[in-house]
Amino acid sequence: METGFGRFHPAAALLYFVSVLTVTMVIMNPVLLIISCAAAVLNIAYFGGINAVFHYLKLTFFTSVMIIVINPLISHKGITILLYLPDGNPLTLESVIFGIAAAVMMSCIFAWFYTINRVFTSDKIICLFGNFMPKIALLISMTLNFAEKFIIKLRDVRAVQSTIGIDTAKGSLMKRLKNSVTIFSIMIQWAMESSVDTADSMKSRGYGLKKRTSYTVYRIFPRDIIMLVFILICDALILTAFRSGAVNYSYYPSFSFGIQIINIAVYFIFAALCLMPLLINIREDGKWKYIRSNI
Amino acid sequence: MEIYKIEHLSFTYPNQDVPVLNDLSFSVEEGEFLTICGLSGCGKSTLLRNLKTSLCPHGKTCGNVFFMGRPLSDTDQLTQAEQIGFVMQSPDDQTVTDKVWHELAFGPENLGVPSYVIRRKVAEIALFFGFTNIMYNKISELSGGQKQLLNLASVMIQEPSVLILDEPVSQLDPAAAEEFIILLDKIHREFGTTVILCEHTLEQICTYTDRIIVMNAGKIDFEGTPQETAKYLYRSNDPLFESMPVSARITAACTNDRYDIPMTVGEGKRFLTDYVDGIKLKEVTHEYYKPTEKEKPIIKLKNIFFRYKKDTPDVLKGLSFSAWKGEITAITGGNGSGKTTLLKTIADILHPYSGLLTVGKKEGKSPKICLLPQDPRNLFLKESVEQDLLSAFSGDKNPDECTDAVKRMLEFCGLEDVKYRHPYDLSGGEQQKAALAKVLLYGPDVLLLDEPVKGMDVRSKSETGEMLRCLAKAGVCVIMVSHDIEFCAEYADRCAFFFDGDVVGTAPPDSFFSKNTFFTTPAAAMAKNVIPNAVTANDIRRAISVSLPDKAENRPPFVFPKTGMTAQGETKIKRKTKTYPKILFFFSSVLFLFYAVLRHFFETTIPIKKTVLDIAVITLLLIFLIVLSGKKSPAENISIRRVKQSSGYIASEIIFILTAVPITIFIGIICFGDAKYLFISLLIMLECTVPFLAAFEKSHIRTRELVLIAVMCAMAVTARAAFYMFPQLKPITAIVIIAGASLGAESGFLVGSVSMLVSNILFGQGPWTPWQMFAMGMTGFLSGIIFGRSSFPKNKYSFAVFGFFSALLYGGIMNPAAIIMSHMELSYGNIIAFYATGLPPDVVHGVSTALFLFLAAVPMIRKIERVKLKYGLICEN
Repeated sequence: METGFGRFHPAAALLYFVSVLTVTMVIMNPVLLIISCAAAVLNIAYFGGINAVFHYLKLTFFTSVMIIVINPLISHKGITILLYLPDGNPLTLESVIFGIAAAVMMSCIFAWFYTINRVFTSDKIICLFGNFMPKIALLISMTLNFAEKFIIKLRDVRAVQSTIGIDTAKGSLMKRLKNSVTIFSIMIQWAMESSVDTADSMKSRGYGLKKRTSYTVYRIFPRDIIMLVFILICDALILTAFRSGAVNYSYYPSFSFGIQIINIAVYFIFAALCLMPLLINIREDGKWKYIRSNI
Repeated sequence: MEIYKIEHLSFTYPNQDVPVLNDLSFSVEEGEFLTICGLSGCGKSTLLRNLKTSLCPHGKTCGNVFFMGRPLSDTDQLTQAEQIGFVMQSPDDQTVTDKVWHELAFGPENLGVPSYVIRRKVAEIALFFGFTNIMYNKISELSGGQKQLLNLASVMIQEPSVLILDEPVSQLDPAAAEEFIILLDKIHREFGTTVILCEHTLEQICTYTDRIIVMNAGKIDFEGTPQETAKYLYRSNDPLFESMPVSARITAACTNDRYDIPMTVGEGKRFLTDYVDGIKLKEVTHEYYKPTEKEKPIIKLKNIFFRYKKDTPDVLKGLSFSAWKGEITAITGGNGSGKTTLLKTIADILHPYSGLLTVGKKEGKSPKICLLPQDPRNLFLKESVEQDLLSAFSGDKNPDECTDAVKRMLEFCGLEDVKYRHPYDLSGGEQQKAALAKVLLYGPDVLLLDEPVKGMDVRSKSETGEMLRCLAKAGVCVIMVSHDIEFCAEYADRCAFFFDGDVVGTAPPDSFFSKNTFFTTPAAAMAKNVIPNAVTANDIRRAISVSLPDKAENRPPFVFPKTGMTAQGETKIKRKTKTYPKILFFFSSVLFLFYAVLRHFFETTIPIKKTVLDIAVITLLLIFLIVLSGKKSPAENISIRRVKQSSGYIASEIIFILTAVPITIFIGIICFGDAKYLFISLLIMLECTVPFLAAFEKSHIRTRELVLIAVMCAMAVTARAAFYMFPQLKPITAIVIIAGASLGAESGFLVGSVSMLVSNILFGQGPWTPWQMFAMGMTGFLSGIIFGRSSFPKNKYSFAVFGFFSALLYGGIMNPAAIIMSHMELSYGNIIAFYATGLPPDVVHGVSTALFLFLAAVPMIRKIERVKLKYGLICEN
């Protein structure tokens, strides 16, 4: 069952994640990156506990290291030269810093996708498509239904075939490949033939006779409107600041760091935006505790 | 008022001379509960399908069907969709969407009902059917009974005035079947909905139905109340009589029209108590096979414990069970209690975490254990029954011996008449027999059967029973699990309960069922305290000296096929194989690796050498292609029929892409500076994908085609999620290529991109999702374009070569994506570095895709073609 931030309308969730990801990707301001990253990791910790955080760090560690190492080797922009590489090109401080920033940004995006996968259930994806592409939404729903059926079926077919010598786990590579193809042939034949009944059932229930409506379990509540307005206001403020050049940050040719009032304001706004789902979730949990203690 | 009036209806399938329906006339009153019964193949399903235009099969129809006083052909489709509800046999195949709420809403959505009305209707129907707790469940997690109830509910939500059901409970276990029928009866009584149901067992229906129509070979034999039908069937010595309730079967013989025929066990028992008063009972004895004391069991399980996962409860709890040669053991028990798990444990598919499984040796070899699955279709591979049976032999056997063994087996199973038919065109009973035949060809010493008689009519049931007896006589140890306790009582030598993870109460059927009070056969319940030891209808009939139905024809004795296939790597016989295609593939992949390394090495030095190298590699590849295509015996070309003309949007799609992409880049440069590749390229990927999706949205695609596309998408998802040839290698690209080739370019794009999107729902979305959707979509699209050309050769070689290159293309799109995602500078050196590091896995991907396509493309496309042809998906011109 969906809770907290997950109960908002998919459109609000979509706008939220698009805003956060866009700001993170487009404005590579180190402070914004750190805020975004911290919020994303906190989200992972909220959903999956400390183990999920470790797992996530393990996943992103090598890619990050690779980016940090490769970037200064390829990019030679920047003015602060640390040393000269064997091939004669300079290694600059700026490219090292940019590499680190790029690595942080990438890990940050991966971290956000952890939350996105938690929030965007198949129902939400279907609802989003349903509004402007009802056929695709139906196709996705059908594919999910079939795929779940097929995965169960595949397990059965594999088990039965293994008793008559068609085994995908034993034997030489070529043998296993051939057996896999046999099993897939059985699967595709079964799937094709049984799909005919599905098509009949759809036709029998009037598919294709009229323009379809798209029913969804999500309704728009006032809180969804408030959420949308809040996100849009945050977006507008950050965009204005970005257009005015206040939060822009350039790594090349040399990096600069200045603190202005407007910067600090933008940081606070973005922090509020980033932490919002977490706060909503925690607040809801607190409410439940409160209600229970009152019973 | 008559809701249906059928006048002189005849129907003939194309390419057949004998009509399936022959001059049928009857009418259905409004609010009636009508049952049509007959053995499988009598035409009852065809009759039902003729009652709704959209389901009517292809063929020649004569005569008239009137619906509500108007010819059915004049009734428009919308009215038919609303007024005529149709529920089919298979609980699984009828569901369309992934969640319960969506399935319920599907019908009203089709009819354009606004959302707030659907909400009310869904609420109403969910309350009536008791779905409130499972509204958000996945359909795949429901039980068979729940699925069939859901199918009924999603038809009822359209408030039809007539409900047509085609063997709705034949795939359900008895408890679920009863629940279904009771609910159906409730709908019939409370809403006055007309019900037309066809079924080949009348056991459960008789107490609810108003009228029964008996069909035989496309004609109506009889029409009347259940009572009259029972009398008629008895008098005409119809095999269908055996499908009447036990009480009717026993009493029809001895009433002589004096009494009403009782339809329930209670009435039957009262009748029987009265009847036996005056007559002398014969003693009921049974002959069951009993192994000698000394004989060692062939299968012995001792204290077996099994669970599926570490944190789930035990399914088998200290189970102990033995089985002997030449004996039929039947295990019954509740639904989902773990009976199938037990069979899989014996078959060595599942491995217990504790306990001992010993198998008796036979001539120094361990016995062959074969499992006949619940769904016989899990075994069928080839295009005809005979070929399918032949495929049981590996190539090192003498072909004459093989055909001989197959011939004997066809004779034994009574399948000679259908040996050239496609296994999927057979009836349920025949399919089960064909599957049994295939399993028997492996020469099992232990035969495990999972629900062997599910969904069978009485004739097939008794045939299967006789076959099992023959097998036991030949020394096979038969173990079956079944819900059909009457079948168990009739044919088993030993019966047992499966309860709480253990097999309990093992005993011969007579003592087993006559001791049980609640879990017993209807016949045993009737005979309790009246006729001792009687557990089947035949026992009672024998005891009160009533004539028995004729037994089935003589069957040739079962001969163990000596030529059974070598099992699971017991002995390996080396065979000569044509190795040179493999060598060529290997050669080409090595070549590519070299190419990658050399090119990278030469990168910074002399540019001319690079060009020379390129040319050299391309020439070598061309030679490779020519060698392949110029083989002496040309590879079999497969013809692919066009599914539909392209939507006509391709040009506008390309124009849209060509205008939108530069504009995006331009805006990106103006607004963000050109350093923000990630954002801009994401937009570009979306812009390239959306037009194809939009074109699909606009097109008037036929239902069957939509379903085919969904099936291919799901296949690709399955390939990615659960299927691995070797670790990390998944045939998803191959599936997308096959889909593109057989369904057309646009469908190919759709299959590629939707399967990526959906499999990422299972795997986790990421910033890579749009790239994957685009790259895989392009693969399917190109496959459709290239294999859509009639001049292009379509054989296993061309598929393999195309597969190799399209895997490289996929990598070619995904490699720069990796640079952009890691937000590094997009420079020449960078791109080369990423391509070079990405090339080895891409080549491996390419080779595996090529190999998979080499082996699978032609047979799979042939299977898709069969469905396309059979169900009229081919474009006429």
